[in-house]
Amino acid sequence: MRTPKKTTILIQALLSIWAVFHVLAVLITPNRETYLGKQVASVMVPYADFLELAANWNFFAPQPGPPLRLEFETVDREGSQLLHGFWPELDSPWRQTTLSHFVMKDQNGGERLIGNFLCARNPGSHAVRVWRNTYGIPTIEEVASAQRKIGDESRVVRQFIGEWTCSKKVRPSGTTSVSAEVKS
Amino acid sequence: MNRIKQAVGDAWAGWTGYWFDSFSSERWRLFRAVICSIMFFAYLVRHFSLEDYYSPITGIYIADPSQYVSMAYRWNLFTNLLPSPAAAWAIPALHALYLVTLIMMIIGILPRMAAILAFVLHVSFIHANIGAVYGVDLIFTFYLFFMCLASDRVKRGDHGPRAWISSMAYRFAQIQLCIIYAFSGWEKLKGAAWWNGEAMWSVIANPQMARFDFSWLAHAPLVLVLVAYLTLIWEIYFPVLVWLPRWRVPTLFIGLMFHLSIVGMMKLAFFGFLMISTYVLFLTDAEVKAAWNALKRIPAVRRLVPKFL
Repeated sequence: MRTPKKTTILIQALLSIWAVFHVLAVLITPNRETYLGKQVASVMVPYADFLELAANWNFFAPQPGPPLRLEFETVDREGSQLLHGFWPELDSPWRQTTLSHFVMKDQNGGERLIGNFLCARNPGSHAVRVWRNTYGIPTIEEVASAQRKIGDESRVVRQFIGEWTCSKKVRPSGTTSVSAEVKS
Repeated sequence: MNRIKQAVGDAWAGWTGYWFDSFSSERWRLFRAVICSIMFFAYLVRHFSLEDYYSPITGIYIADPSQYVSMAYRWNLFTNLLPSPAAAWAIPALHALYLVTLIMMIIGILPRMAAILAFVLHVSFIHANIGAVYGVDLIFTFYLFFMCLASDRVKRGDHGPRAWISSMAYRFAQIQLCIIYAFSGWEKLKGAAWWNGEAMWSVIANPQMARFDFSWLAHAPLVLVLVAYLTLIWEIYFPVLVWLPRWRVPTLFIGLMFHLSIVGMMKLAFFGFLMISTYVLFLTDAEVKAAWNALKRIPAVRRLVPKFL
């Protein structure tokens, strides 16, 4: 067997260190809040974040989430409803659904993220109000016994997110509190 | 002492063989062409909604992503561009450039240069709106990075840093797929719905995800439970089985069926096709040759991508 040159061994050793570092970085940095993650964060996080390689792979895990839909209404100056709807439509690209979930889960008041978007699509509106709707999926037994259908929206937790004034492009004062309403 | 030296030498030879013995570039080119074709269509869809995702005036705009993720080491070429009026034409132009880089990679025109440019644009678009990002974007980030590293001019048996780094990129790409499945499988073990077998029902009974009405499956609950357990077992064991010659084909075949089911039943077509495209990384040289020969029979492919043939 041919003995490799010293430079070959040196370069391959350096590349090997990188290979191990890379694999460990993509395994550990998504869990950077753990003890191990904190110990190696100063070295691995810059690498993983710079290259955007610190992704979590929790598809449908720990378990599939419930259907979430963003409900909105546009209102005039007197507060009367002009239009009521949902965003996005059920047959929209998955990217829009993902974005709507992001808005609904935002802890800082999702209306500031989606306010201008809804105002621009509904000209003439004074303000928009948005809700986060979480739907209960019917059980296998309920569907099998025809008690409920898939897509049945009777079990919904409707949570007010906030109100956004279109003309000022700012969140009006006094509407930041979040209240919960439960239908049926 | 000699035995220790021999053992270390053997281990080193095995290690370097795994990481640095070069692959046939045909396999990498086929992988690149397939994955970039799928992602071209995925991002073509995004191209028609750019205003929704990246306009600070009329879109769903996240002005300060550091509220959600650490931006200390993350970067974005568009940070100053997005709030400016020039964004109205510059963002579509940059996105069109991104699509062009994907076409260059499909055809094989300056593929590594195109991959580096695509990677920079791709990551910038991710950070320009972190709310409009989902699995396919994150998975493709990894494979774009590996495409920046791998040269398709390397031939089997080549030596030197270029060949070694290309081989490493290939291994990274294979290992990444294993990490995705293992991570996803282990995360599922935390969920009660996967243990009691109801997870599949939660997916197909969700009209946001399901492509059709699957009410009829409520009359076959055992099938759903079985599929849930099979998914768990297959995801968790994929990283081991795919490396065993005897199990490679069955493992990839189950994966193919699994992802085709996702494409057919759920509104995640690009995700399903993207995952299937990564299976090229585990094909043998003979299988790659057969795939190329099959592609050559398609006149449009023959005309459009002469460089492959």
